[in-house]
Amino acid sequence: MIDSKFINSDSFIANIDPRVRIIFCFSYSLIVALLHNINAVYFSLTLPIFLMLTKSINFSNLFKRLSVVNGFIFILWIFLPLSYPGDTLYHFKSLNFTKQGLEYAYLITLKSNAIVITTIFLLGISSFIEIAHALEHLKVPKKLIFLLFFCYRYIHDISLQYKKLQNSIKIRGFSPKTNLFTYKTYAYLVGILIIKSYDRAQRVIKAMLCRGFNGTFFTLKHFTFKKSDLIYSIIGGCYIITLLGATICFH
Amino acid sequence: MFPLIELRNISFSYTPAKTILKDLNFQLFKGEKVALLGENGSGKTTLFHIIMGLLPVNSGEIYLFGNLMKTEEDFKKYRIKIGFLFQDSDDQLFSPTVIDDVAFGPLNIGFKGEEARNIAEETLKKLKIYHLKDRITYKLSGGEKRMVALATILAMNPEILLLDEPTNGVDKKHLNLLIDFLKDTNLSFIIISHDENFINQVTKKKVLLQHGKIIS
Repeated sequence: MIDSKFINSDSFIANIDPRVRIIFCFSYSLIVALLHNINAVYFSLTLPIFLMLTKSINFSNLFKRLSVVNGFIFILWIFLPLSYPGDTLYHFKSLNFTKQGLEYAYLITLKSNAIVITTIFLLGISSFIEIAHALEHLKVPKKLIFLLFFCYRYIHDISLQYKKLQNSIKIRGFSPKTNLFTYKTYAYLVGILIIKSYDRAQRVIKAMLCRGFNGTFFTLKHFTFKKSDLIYSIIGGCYIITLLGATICFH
Repeated sequence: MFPLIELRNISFSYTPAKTILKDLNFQLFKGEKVALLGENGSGKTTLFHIIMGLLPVNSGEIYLFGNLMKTEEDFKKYRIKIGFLFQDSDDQLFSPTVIDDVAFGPLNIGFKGEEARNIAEETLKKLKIYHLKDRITYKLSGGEKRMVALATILAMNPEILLLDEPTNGVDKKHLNLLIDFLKDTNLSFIIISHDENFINQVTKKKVLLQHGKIIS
């Protein structure tokens, strides 16, 4: 989303009003996150599969992003079977691996991937300023939008700053070990990172004020709700209702 | 003729123990091109922040375009007529692409999308950096960032420029572009720089900030 480079801007998704995409993406994510039935989850996968079939994305970049998400989920595959109560599948000394734990990890994996893929396809095409502008149109509180904007702005900055600091300690011969000196060095690094980020945030807000920023995000693109947006809204609404219906049926 | 910027008896300190500016007086008139010199830590950047109303003074009066600045609302009205180039361009650029960033100011002051885009494009052409239009801001080189940061403030059609070390990290090609622009412009400006050669080429007046005061 930072540079919007992995979405094909000619895709039909790019022509849908960002407000429609945000509402649809939010509703879909909320429903999928609350699903407990595996058949309902299978049904919810129809959307990400359809989006992937549209080929409006660079797949290698998509899988790179998914690998980061699934890296975190992998931890659940280790811990959930051990901690979730249920029928023992395998036991090693005092550790019990449960069937229900494995099923739960599988469910979370499917749901997370469905939500992430849908979000990447629907929102990854827009620049952040566009999303912030759309959120303003949707009457999301300004404070929340600022918070989101600055998070987006600083995650990249902080990572750059962290790399610079890491290089600066490397060139002075630092190699991490399990000793007090290493812990102290990392504590200093994190501390200075927080201070620098705070200072940077102060300077950026000043730069924005100097350029007439008064709390509203404007964009070069103006949103017009077209006939096609109405059609997409109806299709999206029908899909959400069907998904809800399927959820109730499978329960 | 009233000065565009007038500072009367300005005092400022970050902590009570260390006074940065003490009873400072300064005037900038229309058409003046001034270099603000001084040692590191003498308060040059602080002075720019004070002029823009980004730091509150302990005492003294600030007049912008003949008007006394008392509140944030006063500064809001006049600071958009002053283009402030920050020391670090990364502080100034935050939109995803160059064109978005340059159009940010015009959009804020009320121009519609298409108008703002035209202004941004014209500004980029004027600075001979139009080819950077669709580039991602954080991936620009140091010199390109500096020129784009300058474009972001020029797009607001300012009457005064405050340039804080504009030659920082700028290569020869971009430095020449910057010098050409500053030589040709009719705008009044104050430059902070340690590059004597650059200052001699673009300014006609030098003032020194020492011990919290301006010495001509």
